[in-house]
Amino acid sequence: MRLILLAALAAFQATAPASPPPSVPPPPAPVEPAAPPAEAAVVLPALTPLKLEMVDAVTTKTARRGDRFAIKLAEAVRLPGIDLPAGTPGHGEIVHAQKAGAAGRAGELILAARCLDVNGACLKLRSLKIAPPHATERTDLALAVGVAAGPIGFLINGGNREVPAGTALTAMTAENTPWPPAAPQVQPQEPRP
Amino acid sequence: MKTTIQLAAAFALLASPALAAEKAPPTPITIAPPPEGKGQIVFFRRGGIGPLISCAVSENGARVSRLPPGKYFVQVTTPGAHTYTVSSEAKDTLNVEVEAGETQYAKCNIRMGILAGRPNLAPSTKDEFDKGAGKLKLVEPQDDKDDDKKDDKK
Repeated sequence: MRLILLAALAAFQATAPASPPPSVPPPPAPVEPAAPPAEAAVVLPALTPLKLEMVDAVTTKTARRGDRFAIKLAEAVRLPGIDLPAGTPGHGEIVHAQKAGAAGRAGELILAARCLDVNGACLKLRSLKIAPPHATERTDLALAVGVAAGPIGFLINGGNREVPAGTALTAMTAENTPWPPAAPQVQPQEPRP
Repeated sequence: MKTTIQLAAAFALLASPALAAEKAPPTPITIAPPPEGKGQIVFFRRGGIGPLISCAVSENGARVSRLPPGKYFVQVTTPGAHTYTVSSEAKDTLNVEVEAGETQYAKCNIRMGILAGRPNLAPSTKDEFDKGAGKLKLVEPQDDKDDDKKDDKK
């Protein structure tokens, strides 16, 4: 009799539908904050040509390697999302300078464009081109006079080279620059004891 | 009649294309752009006064090449600041800043010195290089070897 009861109980469990598990509500999906409207990143591309102008005059009479000189943007740059106004200030650097000298040596000058100052950030520049008149070189004349008349050839000086204020220059942007350029973050200095 | 024929012959000779070709400006030397990520400087020296004076270009004390009169060479280098020197009884220095993908020009000329001529290295331009292009030839390896022999004798 007990066997019959056990068999019946086993048959009941095998045929009865499995009871549903206790209902657990699914975890709520994380609510993501609404994404800001997608803005296309504006980039001023590298090698964008720029028209510049000398603000300072530079001459080989006084120029020294490493000195800075002021420049400014002569023509505005207007690209989609970018407005760089004419007159934006910047600076360049003297790469090589040598005074005119004895024996017909002409003054030598190499300038480089470094930065345009955009909202306190440096828009890096490269490939400065400048076409001022060449300094007068008289080395051949001095040498010829030297051969003919000895040390008098040393007295023949070459011309200095000058780049006056207002001289037109061209340069290019040195790298892809997100617009507007980010100003460098200045770390607050701790007060000295 | 004889004079007329002579004049016509002279005119034909002056107007001949062969003569015109001789007077054509020299073909500019084509300098290939530098390799990717590099810049280059074309050093050149015209012929003229001081042919016996050496114009050996060095950087950081190491010889780059030598420039005999009427020759040029192309120095491919890394972007950035470089200082080149030439020296005889006095040293002359040229500081340049090379930018990737660009070609710069520098010239060597000889100026008067006390005992001998002094080589002078100065910045130049493509226009100036092109003006003398008809007479300029690339420095041959032999040119540099010749100068090394002279240096050895010293």
